Amino acid sequence: MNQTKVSEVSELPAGVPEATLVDLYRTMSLIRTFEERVHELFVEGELPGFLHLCSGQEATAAGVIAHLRTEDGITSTHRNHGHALAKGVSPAAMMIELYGRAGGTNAGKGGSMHLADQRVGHVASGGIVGAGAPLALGLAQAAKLAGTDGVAAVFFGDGAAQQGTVLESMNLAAVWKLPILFVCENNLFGQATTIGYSSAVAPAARAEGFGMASEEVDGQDVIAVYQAAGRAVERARAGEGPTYLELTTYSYHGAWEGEPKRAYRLPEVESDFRGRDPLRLLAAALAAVKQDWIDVKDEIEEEIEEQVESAIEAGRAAPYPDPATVTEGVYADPTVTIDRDGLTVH
Amino acid sequence: MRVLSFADAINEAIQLEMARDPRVLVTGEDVAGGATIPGFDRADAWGGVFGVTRGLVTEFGRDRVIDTPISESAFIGAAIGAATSGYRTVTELQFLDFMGVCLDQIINQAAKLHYARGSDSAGIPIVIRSMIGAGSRAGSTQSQSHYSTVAHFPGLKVVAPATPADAKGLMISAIRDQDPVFFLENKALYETRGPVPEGDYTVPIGRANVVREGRDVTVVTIARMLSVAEKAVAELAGRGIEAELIDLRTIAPLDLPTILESVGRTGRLVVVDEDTPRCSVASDIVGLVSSRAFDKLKAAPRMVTSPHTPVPFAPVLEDAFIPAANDVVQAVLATVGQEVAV
Repeated sequence: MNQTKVSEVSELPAGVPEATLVDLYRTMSLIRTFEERVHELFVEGELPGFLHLCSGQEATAAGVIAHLRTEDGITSTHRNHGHALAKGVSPAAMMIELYGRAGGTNAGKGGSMHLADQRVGHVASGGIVGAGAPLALGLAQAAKLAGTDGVAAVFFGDGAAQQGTVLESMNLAAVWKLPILFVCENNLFGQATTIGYSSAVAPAARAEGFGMASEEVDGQDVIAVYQAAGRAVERARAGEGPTYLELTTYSYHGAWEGEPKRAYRLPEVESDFRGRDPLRLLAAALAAVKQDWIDVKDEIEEEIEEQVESAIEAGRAAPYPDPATVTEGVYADPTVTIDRDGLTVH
Repeated sequence: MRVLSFADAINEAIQLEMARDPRVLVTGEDVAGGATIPGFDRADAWGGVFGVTRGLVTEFGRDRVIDTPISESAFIGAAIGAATSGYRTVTELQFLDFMGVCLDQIINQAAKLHYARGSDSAGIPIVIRSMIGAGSRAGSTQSQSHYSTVAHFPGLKVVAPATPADAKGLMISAIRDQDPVFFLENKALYETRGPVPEGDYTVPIGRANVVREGRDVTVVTIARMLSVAEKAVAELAGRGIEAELIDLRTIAPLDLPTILESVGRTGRLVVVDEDTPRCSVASDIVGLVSSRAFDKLKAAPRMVTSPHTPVPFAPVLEDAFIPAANDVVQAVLATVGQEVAV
């Protein structure tokens, strides 16, 4: 759990344009603001559901997804709000879904853990730890078969890194030489079980055994994440196969909203990560090189606050789904009609 | 009409669809065969352990007929992911008994993704081919017919053809379907032969087939149990009992209307199912008919199933496990006898 301290950045790393950094800040700020407001609304009893927030982990979503095109698909986890926002899913459509209303991302059929929007390549997320990896193989396989230079990315945690589905998928990705990124967000805990307990090695160490390139990166440092992801995406687009990225980070809200007393989290570890908050690190880097940064930052944050507040308003204003729609859409095939008991209707 | 084996009928259906639609892929363990041998691309590649996909790799190449490692979660999940990108993968879970190693991808991903994503996608068009059926002396983990387990999950379609012609037509329907379809092949049927129309045709998913009309009793069968029941029905006809024979063809969604219509005329029901009896398709049909057509029944519905045990190995034990024509005859006589006794 010892983390390398990131030294004060006084100049931007070569090859990362200033505008990109500003965009990364904007994405991370959107995620943070969205998650903190969702947290408040949940605590106030306004939002239903079972929420897994990603405050503290913004750099992993922002830094990786910045390299992806709309048509590059991702699969994600129960903790997927950040990936969804970074991929371009509408905050209002997400909020409407979180409110359990009609007209959001999933028509009230998914909720927080299952957010998806195929149109922007947020293909699937869900409550089964490790299930996204096999699905992402198919996205990468499709891109490869179609002869495009498309890539896929699967996000998963250090808990899922111990799951057979992830390990099977790493092997298949390597033997099929698929254009895919395995993005392990190592936030140190699978619920309350530490990575040191659940794995004898760092998750990324396994990549070598599968013949896969890998990098271990400080997941608080969005510039480092962005650079590593850039190398991985370049490798994938060039037909050189998969890469495993292990990004060490921390979830400020723990495993889920409303979890019992968090004695399992050591205060010194938490304060270490909070001391290297990804937004503050990037803001400091930008402040050191960009003269008008304070103004730009204020402008971004104001804009995002408005965006998130209007998303909340959209959630509050949206109608509830018609209870009759519970039986609709079990099958996609429009030619088959079934009744509520799953029986054919002639 | 031209005669084909059950296995060749399935092969022809996949071949036709692969030729028609470049998005159709075949994946699974040794579905091509010989992929591990550099340069091996011959027509005598295995084509699966029973050769059902033989020859496809020769015609369509290794980019579309793809051998996989023994990693069912990974390659079935890949089929689901590719489906969201517009590909239609016919993937092979060699034996249905193997579902335990990849059940999450089947019941939580394939079955639920369309609905949980808000039902506004093009669906998850994949076909999972899988073998069922006892009798090959393979013991308990490569012989079971537990299709009731997959039929339980909303979002999956489950078909189990009984004849070569239906196998071809249902496979074409399954590949064109927008939803995940389990296509169950009883391995005892592979070498059975029957008339199969040439070219392109479909058998609708969700429709049972009235194979034989009869006034006295409705006998519903699944997959190979059709041929078992046909023997029984012939014997019963010799005793003056005319059975109506319905081959279910699709297990999910269940075509209850066709069964109810028949029972409405005959007043008696016998369901013949190779699966074990508890929480089974047979018990489900008996329950549905009892609750929805109680007033039409002249006798208690009966089930003819395997005993509620794992599939045994020893030939004498395994043969005793599989429902036989005489079991069907006895069940029908019992339902008729009840009425006679009244």
